[in-house]
Amino acid sequence: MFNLKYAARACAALGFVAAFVLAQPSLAQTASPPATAADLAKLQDTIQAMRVLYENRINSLEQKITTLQQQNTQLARQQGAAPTTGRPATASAPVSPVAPAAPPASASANAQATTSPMPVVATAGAGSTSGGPVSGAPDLGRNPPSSLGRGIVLPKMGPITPEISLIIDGKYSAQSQNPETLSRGFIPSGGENIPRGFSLGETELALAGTVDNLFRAEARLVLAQNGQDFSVALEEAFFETIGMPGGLKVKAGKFFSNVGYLNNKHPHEWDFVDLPLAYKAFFGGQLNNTGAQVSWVAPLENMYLRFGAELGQGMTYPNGNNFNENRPRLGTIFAKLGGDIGTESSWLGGLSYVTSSTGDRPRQSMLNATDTFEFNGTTGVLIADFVYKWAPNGNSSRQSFKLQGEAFWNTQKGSASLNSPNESVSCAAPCFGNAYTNTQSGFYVQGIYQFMPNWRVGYRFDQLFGGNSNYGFSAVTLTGTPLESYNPMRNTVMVDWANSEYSMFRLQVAQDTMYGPGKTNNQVFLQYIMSLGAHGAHRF
Amino acid sequence: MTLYKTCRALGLAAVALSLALTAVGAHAQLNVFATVPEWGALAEELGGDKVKVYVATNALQDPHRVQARPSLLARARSAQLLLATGADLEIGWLPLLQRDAGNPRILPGTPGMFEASQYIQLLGIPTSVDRSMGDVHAAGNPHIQTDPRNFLPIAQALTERLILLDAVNGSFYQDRLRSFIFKWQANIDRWVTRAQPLRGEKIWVQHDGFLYLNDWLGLVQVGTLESSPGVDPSVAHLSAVLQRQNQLKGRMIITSAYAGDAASKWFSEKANVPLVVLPFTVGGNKESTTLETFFENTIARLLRAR
Repeated sequence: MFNLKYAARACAALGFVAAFVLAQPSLAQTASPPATAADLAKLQDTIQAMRVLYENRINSLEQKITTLQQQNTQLARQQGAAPTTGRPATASAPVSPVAPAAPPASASANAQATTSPMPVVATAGAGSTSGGPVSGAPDLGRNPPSSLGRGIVLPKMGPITPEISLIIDGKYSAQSQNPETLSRGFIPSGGENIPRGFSLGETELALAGTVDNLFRAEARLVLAQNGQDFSVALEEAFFETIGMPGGLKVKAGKFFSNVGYLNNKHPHEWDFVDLPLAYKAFFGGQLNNTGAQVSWVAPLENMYLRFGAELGQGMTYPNGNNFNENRPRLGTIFAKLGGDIGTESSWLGGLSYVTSSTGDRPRQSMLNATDTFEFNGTTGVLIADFVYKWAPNGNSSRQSFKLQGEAFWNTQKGSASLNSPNESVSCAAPCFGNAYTNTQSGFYVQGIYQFMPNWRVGYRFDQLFGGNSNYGFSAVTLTGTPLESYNPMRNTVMVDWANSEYSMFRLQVAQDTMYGPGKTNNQVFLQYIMSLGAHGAHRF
Repeated sequence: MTLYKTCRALGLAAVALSLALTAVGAHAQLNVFATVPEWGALAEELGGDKVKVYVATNALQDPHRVQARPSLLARARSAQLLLATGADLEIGWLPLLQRDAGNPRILPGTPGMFEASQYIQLLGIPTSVDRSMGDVHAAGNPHIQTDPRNFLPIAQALTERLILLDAVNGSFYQDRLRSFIFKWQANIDRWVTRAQPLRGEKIWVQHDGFLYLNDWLGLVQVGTLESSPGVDPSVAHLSAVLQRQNQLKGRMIITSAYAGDAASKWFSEKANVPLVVLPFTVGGNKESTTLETFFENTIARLLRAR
């Protein structure tokens, strides 16, 4: 210890001289004019300033050494001496020889993980266990302060391992209508429904990380319940650039489109148990395709302005199945503009347009067990979205408010055909409709208010307009089918409690008219969401 | 075809719009983005009129819970130097900013990314980390701004970085550093003398954010009101804490300006000890407008409560 202090001083002195030399570029010049008095004064000042800095460093290092010495002696005393009064003799002392059954290679890692459950914190100077958990639980004589500061290797994965996270989601639901019934007014889009009773939501396994100095990659596996079976699906797998100059970014792979506001938010980020009606009707869930995206952030001072465009293969609604075709059939463009109002409020608005065509692969939907509906043509969706957030002093830990909404305008141009083996249907199979243009629209507005730390309450209103083109058929043909013209609406209320940012429980109550007049659907949901592992930041 | 035309039109509109909205003329100043007020204040002390500083958060915001708001993304887009604390303090929002702002100059590992905690000795490094322990920082306690001695090595490193990015004004930055060091050391000596009566004083804190202040002034922290970091204490837990106060005899309860003080107020009444609300950083109250007045005010409030 004696030598260490002197060594520290010697090193510091050498460092101080080196820094002094390096800090004076004028010394490197060979043919310089003779130093003036002002230069000399400046040099003296510099020396004095450097001395102050290094004195401070030495002092803090000496203090650290003293603390380590104290801790060392304390540790030696505790390990050698009999248990002191008041502390029940627990198994906390033998930290290293643990779990003889555990394989020897991971014994040390296990020891740290299982026998040191409470934070043992190294403090300098104070000497007491400051910050230790002052819990109501009896003090079980847990590990003595045995930390030695930076010498301990924490059992964590290195920085080159990708961030891994697992999110589990489960529900209980009671609904007065069968959710597997097709809703009225819109082409069945194949979106997922929440079954009644106990069910699992999506279990999401995400891996993300930096690939190298230019790229970052992310993949999301989703394990979902399909009826009585479970399936694994790759929801997202893409790379994106991180170092491109000029505010440009390129992204490619399979990912959620950046149109709208909610479209690229994963289920655990939603404010309600389910998606708004408009997403189910026009996208069959969330628009997700394999393709590429280019985006650009404008160099503005105060406002955030971003433009982007995407190209996707188009294998899900509203496309047909455009698999194994040279030409991608989904394109999007979007713009986002956002800013702040003072320190307390922020807003973000967006305008997006989606265009898709079925090409040679018409979109097929089942109207019921036997009848199919095929659409051939183009679909254009215009989306306007906005979000407004407020928190007192910008501090959202206790109170905050969020208002958010989106409006969709969906135009279909093309022709359709019905195919039914049932001869009583007024249209012989297959029956082709006339060319048509159908404009459908819908919107939702939701407000979420955090009234206490960890507690939030929210209300959402959905309204859809089915249009009235009858898809090129006569009105009679479609009576009683899910395609019959209709304008459903829904009211939803929810309250959720989050113990931390990693766990949450939600109670949601909704009433909607999705299935037709006279078939009011009352729903109650109870949901939990838990997350493990790295949890990246959420977008605004 | 339509898609292409729409794209082209939108692209032209975008360029026109952003040209119209961008300020005309290049600034000679270095664009600095500070995540918290203390580094913004330090940058202004060291950079003077050669830097243009934007501070992302204010002293009344909980530094653990910040969202990547649109204006932050916009400011990060044009930043040349990003000042952050590091030690996972800004991990909830800064990586998103670095990825999505479209500015390669502020990515981790570049000269434009400055982490203050790398230049000092961190305290409070836990030996094991588990989520059941609440919001524990694995790299150590990140609230390094409560010890003025930390500002000296950070100021030196920051000046070196400023010179690296803006070599033309090198001697200006060196002069500023010199005068800062003299002034600051004199301040530290003065504060230590003034705060001498506080050495060995037993204190309670609401959240474990004062490790460095304790280390500097010799305060003895007997415990925290929070049962685990970042979690509001329950009434049952506070009652247990109150019982321990009978043995431990802390002399005051300290909390920060940004934290809700309901738990501290309750404890202050029941245990009959003064409640001290410290600014925690520059701008935490109306007296703490600069780095100097921030520490002056901190010590004044502590002394008043004795």
